[in-house]
Amino acid sequence: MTAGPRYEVIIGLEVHVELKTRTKLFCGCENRFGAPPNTLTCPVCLGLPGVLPVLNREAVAMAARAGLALGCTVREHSRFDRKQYFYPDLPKGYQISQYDHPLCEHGQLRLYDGQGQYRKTVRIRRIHLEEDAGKLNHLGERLSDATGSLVDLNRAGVPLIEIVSEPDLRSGEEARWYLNALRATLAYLDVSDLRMEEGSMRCDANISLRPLDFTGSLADLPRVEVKNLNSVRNVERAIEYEVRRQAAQLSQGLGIERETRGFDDASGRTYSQRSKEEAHDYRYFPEPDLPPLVLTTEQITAWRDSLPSLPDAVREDLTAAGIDPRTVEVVVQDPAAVAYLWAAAQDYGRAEAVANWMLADLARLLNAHRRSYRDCPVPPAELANLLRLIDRGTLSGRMAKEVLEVMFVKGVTAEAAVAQLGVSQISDVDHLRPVVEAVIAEQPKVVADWRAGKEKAIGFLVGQVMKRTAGQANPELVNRLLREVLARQAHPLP
Amino acid sequence: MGFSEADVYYVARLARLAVSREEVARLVGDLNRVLDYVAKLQSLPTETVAPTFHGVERASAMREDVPEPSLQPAAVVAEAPAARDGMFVVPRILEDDTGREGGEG
Repeated sequence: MTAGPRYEVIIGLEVHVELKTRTKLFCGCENRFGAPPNTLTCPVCLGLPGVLPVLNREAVAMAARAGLALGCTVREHSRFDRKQYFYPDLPKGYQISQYDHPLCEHGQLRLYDGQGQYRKTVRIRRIHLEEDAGKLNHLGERLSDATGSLVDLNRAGVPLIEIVSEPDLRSGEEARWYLNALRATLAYLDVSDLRMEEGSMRCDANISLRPLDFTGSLADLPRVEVKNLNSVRNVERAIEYEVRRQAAQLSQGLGIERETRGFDDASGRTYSQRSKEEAHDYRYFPEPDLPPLVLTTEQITAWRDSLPSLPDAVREDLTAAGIDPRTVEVVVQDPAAVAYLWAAAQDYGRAEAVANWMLADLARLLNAHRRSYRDCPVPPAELANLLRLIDRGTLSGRMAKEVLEVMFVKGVTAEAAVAQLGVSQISDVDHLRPVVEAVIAEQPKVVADWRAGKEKAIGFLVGQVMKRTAGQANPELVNRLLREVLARQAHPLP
Repeated sequence: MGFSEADVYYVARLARLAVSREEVARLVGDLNRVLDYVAKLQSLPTETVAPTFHGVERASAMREDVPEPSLQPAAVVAEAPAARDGMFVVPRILEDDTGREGGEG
């Protein structure tokens, strides 16, 4: 092998996001996940003859707002087109999508790494509105040995936006930053559930390697599309695998075939789906059942003016509040976490302490109990109360962790949890002094060791006091009292 | 540039249409006449004419995002050739073979 790569990695992502409207894109059936099969269907989304689609106003608003938040221009005139292909999850034999006049174009997204460092800006080519297909449940273990499939059309007609990036990404890591930034922006708009594991956000990655001596157009490079990646981690893994695979092909003097590939989670490999080239001939033409979508300048301006505070602005605010950039980078992903942090910080005063507790302990509890900051059983004011109990010395940090868990699981206030656990820390000098004196009297050898300069011996004495107080003494106070009493014994007052 | 028999077979296959040899011969002629007509349109001077955006001039009407009743589940699959558990049964999909191949290439 010669040193260094002789090519550049070129990646573009296509992300499909289901919009959380109440109803489907072109009919009044409910847009809801998890209903019994085919109970959310009607003649329109079943593709029965003689029906006409009617566009959902809210879906247009959500798509346009997503475009505006991502820096796109929203077209006043856009159009729907038919994309024709045959597959059992598509009852009409075509998908209503947007081809050459998409709703939104020319956006951009700023990428930050996990350290909160700005890395690059990726251009967004377009965002268009389209309908989702139904769901196939294959009979048999795998598609290849399935005897048939069961078709559930509850999802058919659910509004989707497809966000297409320019080929500006250069690694799996950059793809991860891009998806995190995209997901955060859409989360602030509250237009989708964004659950990749449930399919409400899906990603296809286009990957090619450009030899360094290649001077032609990117469009002429053989491009591999890896379809249906269902987690950010898998997008990254699939890209890394594809880059290795294509590099190996090139180094052996073999060409790269333009094709669609799938990704196998278990092996971490992509595999050819060998779909025929003609499957990509979708014969788009303007949807005759829908007149053009026309929006007014006033409407678009109103949407732009009503955008919420977005991640880039929130990141600046959190950083200005003195929060560590890495912590900011985690919190900024989730608008509910940001709202929680501001509420607790306003109450308690120090945003950084709140953020640290959120990330370390609250996040662990939320994950373990499958909850989110939206429905966190510990309200921000109670987290503030807990932090004040630590400041006053009523609780040690370790005790506070236990208290928080009780607050979380039982949904009680900090004070109630302290009472239930009986853990309040003994910070009362008059209470602790006799215990300290008794321990010193019982441990002459350890005391002698300490006096001889063995500093560690004091730790043993602290431990003895903690033991006698069932762990409830304030260890810092015990340490100080021990030193005081020992000093007094060495130099008795006259 | 005209339409060949191969083009007709290709488009027919995309649209899942069975066409006989006789039909293909006729379709080649018909489709080429359509193309000739379009070619004639293209010869007209249109530089000063604003592009027609859509065959219908009206803007799309929109509906409010309010749920309406869906069909009864039994009615949905009533006309299906085969159904199971409220779902349509379709034959095994041959088109999109996901058989694994080529690991490291």
